[in-house]
Amino acid sequence: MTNFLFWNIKRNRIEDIVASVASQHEVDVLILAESKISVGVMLTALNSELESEHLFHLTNGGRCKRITIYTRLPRNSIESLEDYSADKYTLRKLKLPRAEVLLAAAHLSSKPRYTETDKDSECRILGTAIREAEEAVGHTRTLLVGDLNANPFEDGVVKADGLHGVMSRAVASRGRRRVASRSYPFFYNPMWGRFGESTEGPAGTYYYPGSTYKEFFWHMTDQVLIRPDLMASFQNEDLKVLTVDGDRSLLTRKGFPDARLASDHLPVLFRLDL
Amino acid sequence: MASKVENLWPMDIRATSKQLSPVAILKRQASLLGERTKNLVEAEVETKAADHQKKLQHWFYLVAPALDFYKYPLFRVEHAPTQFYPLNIQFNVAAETSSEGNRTRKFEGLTARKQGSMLRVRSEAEFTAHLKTIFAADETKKVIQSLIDQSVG
Repeated sequence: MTNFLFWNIKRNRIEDIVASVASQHEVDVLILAESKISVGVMLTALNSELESEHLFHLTNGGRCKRITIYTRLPRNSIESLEDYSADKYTLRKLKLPRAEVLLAAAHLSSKPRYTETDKDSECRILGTAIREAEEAVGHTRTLLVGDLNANPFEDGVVKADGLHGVMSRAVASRGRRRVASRSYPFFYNPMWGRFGESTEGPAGTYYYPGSTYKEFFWHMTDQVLIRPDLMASFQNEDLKVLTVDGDRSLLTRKGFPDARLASDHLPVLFRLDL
Repeated sequence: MASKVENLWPMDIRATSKQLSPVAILKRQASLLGERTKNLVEAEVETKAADHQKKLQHWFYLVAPALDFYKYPLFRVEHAPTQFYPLNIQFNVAAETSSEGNRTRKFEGLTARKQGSMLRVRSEAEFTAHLKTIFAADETKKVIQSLIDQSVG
């Protein structure tokens, strides 16, 4: 089993909380967005209680400065694919004990002036980069995780020439879909199953109480998407939107992400049986 | 139809290691530094062919991930490609590779026969003893501490 944690930490200096969550859930791969915690401080916090053979180390992120990845996996188990990475996303070859995986980690733009069209374009660029990297590594055991700044139902995440994320394993298991003579691979997007209050955990990963006519309030911008070739290694119950750090709640008394304590986003924990 | 080509190489040539090579010793030691520094400073070894393929050089770097993976060349080891010993250890490579380096820097306690800043080493036991001395040298500790201080700052 390999445990992953993704968290947009809103530039807050919360290394102790991150380390506590990582320790509590025995995280192997820690993926942070908007981290302004110095690497030395983060490593000191992460490794303070760990045995020497299981220490976290920083992975070389190359040109992507919006994502920071720490791991306890062996040093040579993660390799950056710089030709396919950019400022807002990084693509890595990840050698897990039983298989190699292509890891895409992203923090797409949250600029206030970005329209739906802009967000759609960002997802299409990311989707293209992932497909090109898959071609280069020769497999589609791909995992995409990150803050996409778009909900699972928005155009860029859903459209075939975007990320092509669907809500159903059965649909995703078809592998690909042809649209206008071109074939596009599916992603399975389990975050669909986490919306609202009838599901385990909070209604989303990010809360924004806007004041326009159309407001969702809760958003699921932090997502995990899985290619069909990896679905057998992923169980839906192994995906959790966390709301506590040990005894401490990451939510306010009203039940929203506590941006003053930790972050306005909640961490997403998941595991792969690989 | 093409016939199968006979393999003329003897069966006792195998991809198994029979002797611990200097580079293997260096890589093992490199992997152990992070345990002491909580991975604030790591070490890595890079091998290069040198002197028109007449020598192999193994560069031992200190790496500071928090400082954009800055690499400090601590020393290098050089030997003939097919003979591990004798080998040479050049231990002031940072000064050599930096125009502002201090060329008078010395590692205290090194006792082997010196050729300038070069140590000649004749056996595995001698090699590991010298590595221990280099790792424990004040200069080495000072560099590592400086990288740690900058990493947590």
